Amino acid sequence: MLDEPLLSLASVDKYFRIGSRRLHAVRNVSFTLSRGQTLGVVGESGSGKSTLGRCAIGLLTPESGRIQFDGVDIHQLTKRALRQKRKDMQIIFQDPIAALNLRTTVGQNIEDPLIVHRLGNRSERSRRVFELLDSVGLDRAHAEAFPYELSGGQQQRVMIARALSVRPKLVVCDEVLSALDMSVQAQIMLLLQDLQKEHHLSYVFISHSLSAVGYLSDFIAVMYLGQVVEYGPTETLLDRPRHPYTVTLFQSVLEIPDSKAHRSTLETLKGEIPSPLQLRVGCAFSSRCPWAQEICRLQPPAMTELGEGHQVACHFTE
Amino acid sequence: MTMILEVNDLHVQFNRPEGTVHAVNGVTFQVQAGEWIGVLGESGSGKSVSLLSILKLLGDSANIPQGQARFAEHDLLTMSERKLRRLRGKDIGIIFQNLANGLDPLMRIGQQVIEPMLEHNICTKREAKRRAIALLAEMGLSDPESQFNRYPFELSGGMRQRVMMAVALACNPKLLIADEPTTALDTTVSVQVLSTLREACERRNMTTIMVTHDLGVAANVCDRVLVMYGGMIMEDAEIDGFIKHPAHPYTLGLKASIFSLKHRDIPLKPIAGSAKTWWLKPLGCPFAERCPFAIEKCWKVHPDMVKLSEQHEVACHRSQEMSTLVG
Amino acid sequence: MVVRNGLRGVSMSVSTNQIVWPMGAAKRSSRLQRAWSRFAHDRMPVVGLLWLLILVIVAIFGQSLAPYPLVGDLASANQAPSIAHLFGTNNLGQDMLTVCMYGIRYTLEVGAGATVIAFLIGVVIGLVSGMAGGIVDQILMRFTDLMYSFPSLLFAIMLVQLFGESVFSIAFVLGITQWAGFSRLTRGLVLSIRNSELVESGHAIGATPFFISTRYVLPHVINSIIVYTAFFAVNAITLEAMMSIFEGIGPNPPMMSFGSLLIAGVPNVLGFPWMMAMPVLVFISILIALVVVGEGLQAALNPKGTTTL
Repeated sequence: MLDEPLLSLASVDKYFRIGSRRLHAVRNVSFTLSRGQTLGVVGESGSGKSTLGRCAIGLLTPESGRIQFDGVDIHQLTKRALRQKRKDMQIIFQDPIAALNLRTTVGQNIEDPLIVHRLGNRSERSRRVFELLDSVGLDRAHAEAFPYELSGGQQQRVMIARALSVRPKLVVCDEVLSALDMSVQAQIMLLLQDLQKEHHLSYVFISHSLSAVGYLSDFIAVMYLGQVVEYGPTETLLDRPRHPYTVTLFQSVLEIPDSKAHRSTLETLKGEIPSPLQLRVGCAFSSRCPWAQEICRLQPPAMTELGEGHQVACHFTE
Repeated sequence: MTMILEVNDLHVQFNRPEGTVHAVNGVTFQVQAGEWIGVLGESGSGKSVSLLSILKLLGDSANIPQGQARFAEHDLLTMSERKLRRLRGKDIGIIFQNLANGLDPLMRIGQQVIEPMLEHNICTKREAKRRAIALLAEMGLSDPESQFNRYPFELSGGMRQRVMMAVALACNPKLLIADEPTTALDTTVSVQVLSTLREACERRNMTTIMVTHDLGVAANVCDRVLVMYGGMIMEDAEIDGFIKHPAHPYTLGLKASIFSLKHRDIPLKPIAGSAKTWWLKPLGCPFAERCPFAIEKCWKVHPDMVKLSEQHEVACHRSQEMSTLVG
Repeated sequence: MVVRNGLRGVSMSVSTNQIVWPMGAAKRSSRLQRAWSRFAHDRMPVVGLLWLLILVIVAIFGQSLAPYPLVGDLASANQAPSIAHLFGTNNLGQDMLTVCMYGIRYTLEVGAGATVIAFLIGVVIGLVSGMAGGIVDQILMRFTDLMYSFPSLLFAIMLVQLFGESVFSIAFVLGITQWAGFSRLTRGLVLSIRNSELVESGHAIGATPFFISTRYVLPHVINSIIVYTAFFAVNAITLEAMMSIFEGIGPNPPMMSFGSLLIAGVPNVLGFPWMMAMPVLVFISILIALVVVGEGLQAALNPKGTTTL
């Protein structure tokens, strides 16, 4: 039971239709996530990381592949059964002010999932709302406020309380930090960490920031143009990044140097992410990769296991 | 060294139906020619407002009840709108944060680069086109001749930002103001753009003021950093001093709350609370309510800038004891 | 050009600064109070609302408030406005003020009835259509377009022949022929937030489409619909007048609607201008009051950043 993963994705593909063209948003992604662990998904815009997160909890239906959550294939469920399953898998969005109902109070926003799943009567629900406000570090008086009366960080705390109200097993955090101020980002990060320990939660932590992902995750998946190009335990992947794209991401992180002399040279790869609408044959990264060879442009590389769960999709893993 | 910009005791307020927002509450700084200054702060710190207000770019709801701003020999705040317009875009270039707003969606990008040169009568149309193409190439647009006739929506975010940089640099301004130039961009692209921008400015020996909320960007790119909070300057430091001996509790707090890849083992210590909108003018130090070291004086008396070294000033009542407090 | 760009760029950078309400003040003044202060920011909506209230009171108590009986005294026909007859009298000797006071009731009943019916039909169809999408949306919208393009005044006149000329029947007929605007507006508003994170967060908690539609979508689109409602009422009242002008549909003498008052006034417009002018003034005052109230509602219900019209 312990070893059975909470969430497992097998060869998931997702397309969007844009006019007559087809945007391959997620390509052949597989991973597993155990209870109480965090998978960090890192990538730039257009990498398909948010789409992947939504597929994982059944908010979007993939074209092919299997998604097994808590022992059931969630895309085999009826609409009704899937709605009930939502109790176990929640999502926190990037922009709380867009995802919260501004017409109702903070308390009602947190209570909504409880009403939807018919959990408790009115007084039990309001007690639960207070409990949740406490656990995310908000004041009980905030229950009466409207979301737009709170600061960005507080709004994100409301979002978290709302997601946790139904005691989920899995929470997808979709860029939950990027709308926040620096000092507040760290607060929310610590809160997520604490809540994970307390409730034995699993997270899929989606972010464009490698440093944020590195902080919270047990495993990291690096995505580029809909594909996972590298996957592995956090320490392994961060200490020995193998895919050229992961290396590029590394170079792009501007850390505070030890002194002026140690500043970043700002040298990184040229070029930008090609349009995901473009057809391609070879490796997705070949157009920017400084080490790209003939084979990279012709043949997509397969995921290669390097040991200890470290996988990389590159023809030249050495 | 010559002084190029001098801002003195600047105050900016916004009139809103709900009340007055005190966005900038007494900002004083000087910029020497050739410097690259970073203005660092969180949302609502007044970092953009203090720069855009002196160029009268904030619309009617903003007013400046107090303060002076001198650019070269011009007094910016008493200048007529017409004279100011002659300055903006010619002697002072501006790069905006928001890609969608910075460029005219209905105009070909080449035209947008040419326009300021023609408007300020810098050169002939043919010469302007030649310069524009050279500029776009310098900004890293591949094949600028063919890109010249494209519209902004046909370009990626990074390319649009490069075009905007070309527009800002078109007249070879003496001073460049870059308002969060890389915030809207992807990580890998943002580093490229920063590097292009820094090279272009160095080549021209251009004075640059870059507004940013990213401590990493400020620490890696700027020569000097102004840290702002609550519409005031908290710390003004040359980069080495800023990196090695940050002195204001706010700067220290920011440093302790960023995620570091290199030092993942060092626990985060975020600053409590969050930045707020100043409906009332801060009485003492605006950071007092979030500061772990605040004493009674901090709430009541506005701290003056204290010189720690030749190129390092900090606005904190407890700056002398800070090193012992932090331990 | 730089300047123009500048202005656009900057309005953005300022609005990204979190606007947090002055906490103390916001806590004490409720949402309703704040909406009212925006409504009353301009004086016109308040005046308009007051005027409408007076008219409603007149409509309800018209019979007992009227200075004269409705049936006129031929001896005092065709009198110009005076202290005794503020609005003058008509060729039947009816006191025009009395006639108007009776007429207001009829007009407001028809206007309100038609508006409520059209509102209910239109909003439900628009909401279902926008939320459901696909084939349901297709069918409902083709139906709406049909109603929209059909000469609905003609249709209404036909239906009135069918249902009779009572106040209720006219209101009902106007309601069931005029709802297309409501449904198009509602659908458009729903579509604009259907793919928002708000609706997605509703799906994410496992809410049913009904729960999402009523608790998340409707409250966010209702403001704009309410504003439209005020303007719709103007339209309904005008249509009623047109029906009585062109087809003589409406109440029978001695009771008169504003439409029939206008027709009656036309032949006398040269000799006895007050016969037409006074009812027209009252009628126009209703329309203007509704329009300014509509504008006030727009300001009150659409504070910056919470709703898009």
